[in-house]
Order: sequence, then structure tokens, then C-alpha cells
Amino acid sequence: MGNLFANQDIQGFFQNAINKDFARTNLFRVVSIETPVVTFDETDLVYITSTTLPARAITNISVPFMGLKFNVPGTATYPGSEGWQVTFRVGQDLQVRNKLEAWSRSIFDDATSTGAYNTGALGNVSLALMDKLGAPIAAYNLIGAYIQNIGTWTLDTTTDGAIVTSQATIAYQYWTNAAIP
Amino acid sequence: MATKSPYHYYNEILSKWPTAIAPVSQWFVQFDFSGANILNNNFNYINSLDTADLESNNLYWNFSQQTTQNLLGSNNQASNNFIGCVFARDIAIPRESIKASNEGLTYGGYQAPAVASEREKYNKLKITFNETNSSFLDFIIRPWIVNVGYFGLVARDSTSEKAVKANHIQACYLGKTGGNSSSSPNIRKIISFFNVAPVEIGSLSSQYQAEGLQYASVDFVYDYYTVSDPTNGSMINK
Repeated sequence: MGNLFANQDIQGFFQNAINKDFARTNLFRVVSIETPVVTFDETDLVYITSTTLPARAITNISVPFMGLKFNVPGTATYPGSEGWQVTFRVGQDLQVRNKLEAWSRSIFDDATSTGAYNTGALGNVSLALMDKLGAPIAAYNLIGAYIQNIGTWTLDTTTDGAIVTSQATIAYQYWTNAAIP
Repeated sequence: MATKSPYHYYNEILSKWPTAIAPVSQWFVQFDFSGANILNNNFNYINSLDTADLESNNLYWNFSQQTTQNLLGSNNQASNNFIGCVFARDIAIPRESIKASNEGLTYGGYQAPAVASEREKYNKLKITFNETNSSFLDFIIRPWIVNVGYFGLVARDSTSEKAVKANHIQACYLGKTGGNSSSSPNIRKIISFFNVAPVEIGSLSSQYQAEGLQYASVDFVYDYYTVSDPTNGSMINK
């Protein structure tokens, strides 16, 4: 195996950092949120401040044998697919909030007891990671997405008038790696 | 020379396709409705037999032929040849049992040997189905059961409009990629039940308290069943 310092010492780390740099938490964009009733355009999407890159997991099956637990891979799941969270800044025109509300009411409207709550009527979300020049380097599609929860807003006349952010929770079926746009 | 531990050997066994652990969720159910002419005939008899108020011409069982055919269609929901019956939620393969005991003379502490007496009669095949907008449970299974009640399970010519037995139901179990195919899941085992008809549908609960799935269990009877290895016995060589 040799001397592990040969390539993994401080100089090796620094050279690697020069060559490969590091992924940054702010180098992402939600490219699109498409729904049958509303479309979030770039003026909405640019107000997104934070979200998460969704997870994918392989179910573990424990197979004990003579006291030792073997771990066998099972099928795939998408942890958190019932609640992918995205946070928006909200413009003065409340456009983002209005679109989230319209999307939610289209899924089920308690005023009419109707809604497009079959999976064929759901939307899709695309997000991308990018390099420091803005070039996309990875893209993801969240398939079969619907607005699950429009977050609460805290309104308070005693504050100094902080910008309102709105957290939306979107459920989806699964995600795929997409072609880099 | 280092000897191989039982754990290493067991790990090697797990890594081979024939002896790898079978995933519990990888299965589907296929229906072959041919033979059950009572279905293909859109339950035409059910109103003439099951309507209490014939004089007023009220039709208590009233659903369209289109609904029935859409539910049964070979490329649609109930017998899709790609993913099987999409309504199936779980399946319980009936047990197989022989009555046996230790019979004969005992003396001085010596016990009699085991003796088999008879094979237990077939138990019912149980499949649970999800409720959907176009209700497979109430537009196919429930009237099918009623027709079984009227016409019984006697053997009928395959062309008889009163034939209630479907040709077969197959429970197909998938292995992970491997075995015969390196790129797609392959069927590792098929349990086929022949001349099948439903005889009981469980209660279907609805409630206001919480949102969720509706489903009901259905019991099927059959004339016989078989177990087959779709790889024709070559699995152990993989």
C-alpha cells in the first residue's frame, strides 16, 4: 500500500483543491417548476433562496447468520419525496404566493370538492447545479410533483420590516438525472 | 493455508444469483380471463337473476360494458402483460399440508414412526386489491362472485356463456437483475392457479377520520395449481 502520505498529504490536498476546487452550496438554480395550472417563470425562480438536493436510498435487508448480520441491498426509495422543501423570497406583488395557492387549490378545492389529484395531473420540477461561471454541471428532474404544503408566514408589525420568505413543500414520486441543459 | 470461515462462505453464497435473498416486493399477478365467459359477456345474466323488481324494469346492477372491458383489457389494468394486474396490493399463496402423526405400537420408550394420512384440501388463494375510481372490486369481482353463486363451479364448456372460471391466475416472482438477464428483472418463479373463480370479497371500509387507501381482500378457489421455474431448471447453474 506504500506510504499514504505520498499523495494524501497537505501538498496533495492543496494541489487537488487547485485542480478540482469544491462544490458550493449556493451554486444551484431551480430551472423550472411546471404544473398544469401555473408555471413559475424566471422572475419567480430567481427568488428561490434555498432548497435541497433530493436523496435516493437503497433499502437494506438484514440477513442474520450465526450471529452476524449480513446487509443485503434491496430496492430503491426516495427519502423525503413526500416533502421536498424550497424557500422563496416573496415579491411585493405576491406572485409566488398566488401561484402556490392556485397550484394547491387545483390539487383539491374544498369549495367544490374537486381537484386534479390523480398522478397524471401533476407537475415536474427541474433543478441544476452549476460551476462558478454559471455553466450547468448536473441536472435533476423531480417527476410527478405537487404542492403539498404552503408554508406559514410570520407577520409582525413590531419588526423592522424584514423580507418575507415563503417555504413551500413539494411532494414528488421519484427523481431522475437529466441531460445537462 | 487459511481456512475459509462460515461467514465468508455464507457471504459467497449470498453473492450468487440462485442463492441471493429474494426481495419481498418484486412480484406481480397476471390474470387470464379467457374461459370466464360470464365476464366477457359483461355479466348479461346478472340483472335477470339478481333483480328483485323485474316488473318495474329497475336495473339494480348497472354499469357499462365499456367499464367492464376497460378493466379487463389485456393491455389495460387487470391483465396487463407488462406489470400484471395493477390493482393487486398483496397476495397470500395458500399453504400445502399433509396430515401426519406418529402412529403404531409404542413399547419401552420406543416411539412409532411418522405416518402420513391425507393431503389437506386446497386452501383459498387470497389477493388484496386497491380500490380505484373505476372499481375493479365492485365492477368485476363482486358481480363475478354473484354469478359464481348462481351458476356454480361445475365444469362447463369453454364456450358456455355461464362459464365462471377464469383460465388461470399467475403469481410471478422477480429476481433482481441477473440470472437469465443482465439488464432487466427476470421471473424466477411462477405459481399458477388454474380454473379460478372468486368466492368472497371482504368488507370495504370507508371513513371520514383519515385519508388513505381503500382495499379489500378477495378469496379465489381453483381446481389445481402448479409451481414452475421459467428458466427451465437452469437457475442453479447461473
